[in-house]
Amino acid sequence: MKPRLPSRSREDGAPGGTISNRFPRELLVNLTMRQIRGTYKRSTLGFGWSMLNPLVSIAVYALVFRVVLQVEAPVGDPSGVHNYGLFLVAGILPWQYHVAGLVSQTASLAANRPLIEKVYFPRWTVPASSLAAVLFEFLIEMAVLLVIMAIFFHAGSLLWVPVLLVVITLQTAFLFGMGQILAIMNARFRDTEHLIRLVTQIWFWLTPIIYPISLVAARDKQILGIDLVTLYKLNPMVWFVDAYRALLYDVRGPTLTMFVAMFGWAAGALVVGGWYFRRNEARIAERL
Amino acid sequence: MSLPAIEVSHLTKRFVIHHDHSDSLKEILLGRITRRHERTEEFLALDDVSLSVPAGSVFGLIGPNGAGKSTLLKCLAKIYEPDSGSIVVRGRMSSLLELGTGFHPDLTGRENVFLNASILGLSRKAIAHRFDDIVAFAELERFIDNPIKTYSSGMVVRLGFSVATCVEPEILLVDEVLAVGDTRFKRKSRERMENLLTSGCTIVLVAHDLGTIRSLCTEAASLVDSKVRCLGTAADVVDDYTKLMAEADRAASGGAGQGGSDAGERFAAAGTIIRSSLLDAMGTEVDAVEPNAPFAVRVVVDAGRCPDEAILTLSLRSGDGTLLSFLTSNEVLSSLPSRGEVVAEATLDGLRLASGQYEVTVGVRDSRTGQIVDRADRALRFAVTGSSAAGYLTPVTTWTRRQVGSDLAAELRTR
Repeated sequence: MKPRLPSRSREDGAPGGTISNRFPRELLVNLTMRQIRGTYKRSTLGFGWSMLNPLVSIAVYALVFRVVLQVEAPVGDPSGVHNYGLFLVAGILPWQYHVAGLVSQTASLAANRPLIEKVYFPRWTVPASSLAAVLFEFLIEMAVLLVIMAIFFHAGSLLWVPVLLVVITLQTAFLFGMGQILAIMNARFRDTEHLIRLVTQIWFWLTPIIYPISLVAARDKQILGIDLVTLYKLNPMVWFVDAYRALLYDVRGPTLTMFVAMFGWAAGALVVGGWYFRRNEARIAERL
Repeated sequence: MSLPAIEVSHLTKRFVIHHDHSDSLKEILLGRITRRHERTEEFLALDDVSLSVPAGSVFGLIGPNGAGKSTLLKCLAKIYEPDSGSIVVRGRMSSLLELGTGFHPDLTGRENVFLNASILGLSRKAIAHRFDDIVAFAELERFIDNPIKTYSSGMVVRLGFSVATCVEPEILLVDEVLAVGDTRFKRKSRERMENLLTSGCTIVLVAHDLGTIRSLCTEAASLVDSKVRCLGTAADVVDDYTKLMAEADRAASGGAGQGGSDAGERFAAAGTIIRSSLLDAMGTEVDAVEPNAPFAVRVVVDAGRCPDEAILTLSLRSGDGTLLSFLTSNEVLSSLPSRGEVVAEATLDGLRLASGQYEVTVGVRDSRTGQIVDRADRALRFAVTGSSAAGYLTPVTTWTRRQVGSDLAAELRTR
């Protein structure tokens, strides 16, 4: 017998049937809710943890970098805000969303192994719902930050909320693209989970979060004949952190260049990630 | 004649087995560098499998462990991607591969019902519409708002079954889950399956219990060594499979004699029972009997190792282990000579078994103390073939009919 190419066809029943091929919104919502509820169901502090984690790391970084190393935050332009703590928060919250988004998506397929091995449902909903659960927490943190910013520093930041939502959308798209690749890789090699934690640690220090990028620009150092700042700008997170800072610290719109860079990274990640995921999704169950 | 609900043609599925569990990137990379590829092996789980499942039928899949039944089911359910061949599925499909998967222990029953039903593809409105039915069927009204982790395993399985079958699928894949819960729930779940059938649902059923296959299924296929061995009506496939298993048993017991066996698994190795065999009406040793033919169980006993007052016991079981009959002898073993071999025979008549595998356990008891002196578990295995009935029995059946209207009228007139 000649092996034929695998083919699969479904002649689905009449429209309006209970099982349809339309966008699985219900499934996505329920998987996300499971993730969120499951995370905090048995902790007394519940969502408090979502607040406590960034607060503690901000306090530690502020102590070390502001008090001990005496790193100076730039003055917000045009907001006039000059506060290292706020400078830090505006960069560290998007960064923590970045890390949590990558780590949770990477582990997502492997963590849902029993489900994937027993039922068919659109596989992309697994990393997507993991990311959505993390996004949900991030949105709460952002809301709290905006309120604090408006009350204590500069009410003008509230006007930029629509633009902020666009930036968050772009970052989420970028994360989802990367997450699809990492989740598939982790289905085969569980090392990916450990590797991504290591990579994000290095990535953290190479992104101007606890120090301003002006400090890098002032160095005037070249590596392989390229300016250090130019090298920095190859890092997509530089653009995202910059955009968040512009909105939350400087209280102005991100530049067109920032948008082009963020959009480029987001679209690129989505296209490559989506292609990679679709190419591998049929084999997820047996690779797990 | 409508189109088949499922058509599988030339389906092949391979798995790669990694002998060294090189799940880590390091070993893969090192393996690449040092070119050590020999530690993987291919396993052919499905080899050129072709079959079609008629719409509205109950299709049984049987075969020994590891023959590829579950792999086939997972290919049908889109969980596995076939390497070559094609699958055509016509209709909405739901699967009962394992009940209660996807339940989150910390969430309540209610939250889990919504989650699980949406995994199966139901919209929120559709789930809300069916919610009360789902809970009522699982009989969990009082516990539905408690976390799943407080449920007993039976409760979890009941809820899982209830959700999975409420989807009203057109095609249902079932993997040996009919035997869930207590007896009452088993009956309820069987009724639910039968209701699905009358509503025109096509069911593909994997089961080890041949009785279930024969009584529920219309068509069946047997998978042996990753290939389709037999395809046809459930009765034919089960008969063929029964014969195959009987041959395999004989081959495994290593020429223990035709239909006879000198051992079985011994309960007490007193050595009282020397050997036992099955005889037909002509007195020849056989390993298969007709449903309506009498047969005899012959037991050879060592008189020297037998208590003074002994009784012989026979338990007749079906292939799935159900006890059909437990017989105790009269004084056939009392006042035996002090040494030598004694042949005792029990002739069974009018048993009228249905087609299938059966086994007999032979025992010797001390009738005064009631203690078991020797017992050979499954000393005899035999097949019954040629019966048209499913289950355990082939009763003598007479079918009659009469016209209801005319008889009623006649009856009324005589009053």
